[in-house]
Amino acid sequence: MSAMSAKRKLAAGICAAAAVAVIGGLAVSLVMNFRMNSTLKEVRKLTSALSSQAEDPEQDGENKENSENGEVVIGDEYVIRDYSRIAEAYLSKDPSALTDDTDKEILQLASDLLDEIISEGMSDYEKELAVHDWLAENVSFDGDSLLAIPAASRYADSPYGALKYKNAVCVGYATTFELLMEMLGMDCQVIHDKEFSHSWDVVKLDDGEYYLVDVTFDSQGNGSFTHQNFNLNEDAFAASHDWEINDYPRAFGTKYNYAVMNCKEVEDIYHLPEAVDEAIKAHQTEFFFSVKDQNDPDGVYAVAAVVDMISQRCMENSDVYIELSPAATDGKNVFSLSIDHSDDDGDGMEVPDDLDEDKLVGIVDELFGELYEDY
Amino acid sequence: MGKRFCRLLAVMAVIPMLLAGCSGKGGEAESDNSKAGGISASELLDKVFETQGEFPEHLREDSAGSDGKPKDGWQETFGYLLDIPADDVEEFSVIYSSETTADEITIVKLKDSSGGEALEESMKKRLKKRTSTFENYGPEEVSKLEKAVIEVKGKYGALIISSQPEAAKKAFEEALGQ
Repeated sequence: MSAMSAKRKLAAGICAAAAVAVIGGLAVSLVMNFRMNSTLKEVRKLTSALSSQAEDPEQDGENKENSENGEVVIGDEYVIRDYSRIAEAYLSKDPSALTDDTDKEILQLASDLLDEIISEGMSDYEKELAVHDWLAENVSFDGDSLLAIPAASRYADSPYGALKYKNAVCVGYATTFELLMEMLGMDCQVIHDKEFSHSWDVVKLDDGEYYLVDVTFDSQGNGSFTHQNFNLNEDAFAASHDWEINDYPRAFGTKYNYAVMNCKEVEDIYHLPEAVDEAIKAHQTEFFFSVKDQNDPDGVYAVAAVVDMISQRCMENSDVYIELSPAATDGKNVFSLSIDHSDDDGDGMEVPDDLDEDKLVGIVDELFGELYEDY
Repeated sequence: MGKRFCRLLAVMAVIPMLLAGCSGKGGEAESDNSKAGGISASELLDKVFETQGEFPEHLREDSAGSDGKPKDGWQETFGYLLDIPADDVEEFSVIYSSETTADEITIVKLKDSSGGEALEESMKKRLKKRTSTFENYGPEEVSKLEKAVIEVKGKYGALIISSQPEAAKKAFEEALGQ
């Protein structure tokens, strides 16, 4: 079964759109969607959907449960269950409260993990980051879940699967993250999308604000991961997720937004290509940036256009794929760029022996330019 | 004239019966359908799948064993696919991609054609869920899902998600004599 390391890789092409919506007494939001090959029409649909959410704040989340016994079932199979009893047993230091053997084992596995990755004196943000990074690096997306008849991965939707077998679907990632946050005394909740096809988390940090986290999407398989979906506010998150926004805590925080905290400020738009080039040559897998003279709504288009130019050339001349997404819009436009170095050795695919490779290289180079050796 | 005419009619009435008897075993689709109960879901899937030259690596599930008898626990497997009562189903067969693609051909044979509408609705629901799943985890498959075919004819239903859905649909219809 092939891994899901390239689950959201999209072809070159970029479109940006911004929409401004006033939500009751809330501040003006800016929604950006940068997706390779997205059309402006699709982006307008997305922003229209968010605007209609804004116009109808009284939605009552009638789709919160979708099974007869009140459970939330994702993908027709994976159940979002409550594991707070395990967090309570941990915090009260009383494991005898747990009677189920699987619960006891989850408690032990989770406790051992926290002993390993959490140190004395860590802030809430640092603890949260440690948990995110461990899950994203060590747990794999269960590719079986895409089969028409899924294999018997009974625990892929629970902390048991994630912690014991290092194997999980989105529900497994989200419920495990929630459990670990609760064990660390933090307020965290699992969110699911409107289609009941995906889930992630919202967590409250010490600034009193909530932040959105999608460990599934940050986990790229084979030990690599990003922070593109770590601690976003709802405006940025809505570019790629669709949920009943008023059914869950509202996420407006930006202080602990990973992209904001690790943002490089580029002098101006004309220096952006150089900044991206440096990140690629340094073999970075993610690059967070803002551009000094592009912090107004129109700046989104400018940045998108320049990244599109770079992306086209990367696609044509190398094996590097870049993907731009919005990270934050609090006073300045912060962007997240994921960089996929698909073929680091630069050799490319092997040409069959019966073909004249030199001749083919000559033809391709003439039409598409020579391969950039630097990449 | 009258008697001769009636005798002719009698002979003409007998001819189709004789032909049915002569076509007998090992016949084509038309003769399969003439058997009591009609073509099996498994045989129907075989005929449909023959048209799929580009189908990826795959797995197969049949509710009936090679002896034609229902396998133990087939209802649970069926439950992964569709949400109509298993009691309404005589037999089902499915071939599906074992890679992370959406390709799938599900054939259902109901006990009674009155369940056809519910079967169609269930297949539409499944298609919608699969599309939603792949929008998140395999967007390159979405165009294939959007061209999927759902066909319900009498007590037979087919959900066809593949890169050659029209060829599959045609084979399904021809196998049912339509």
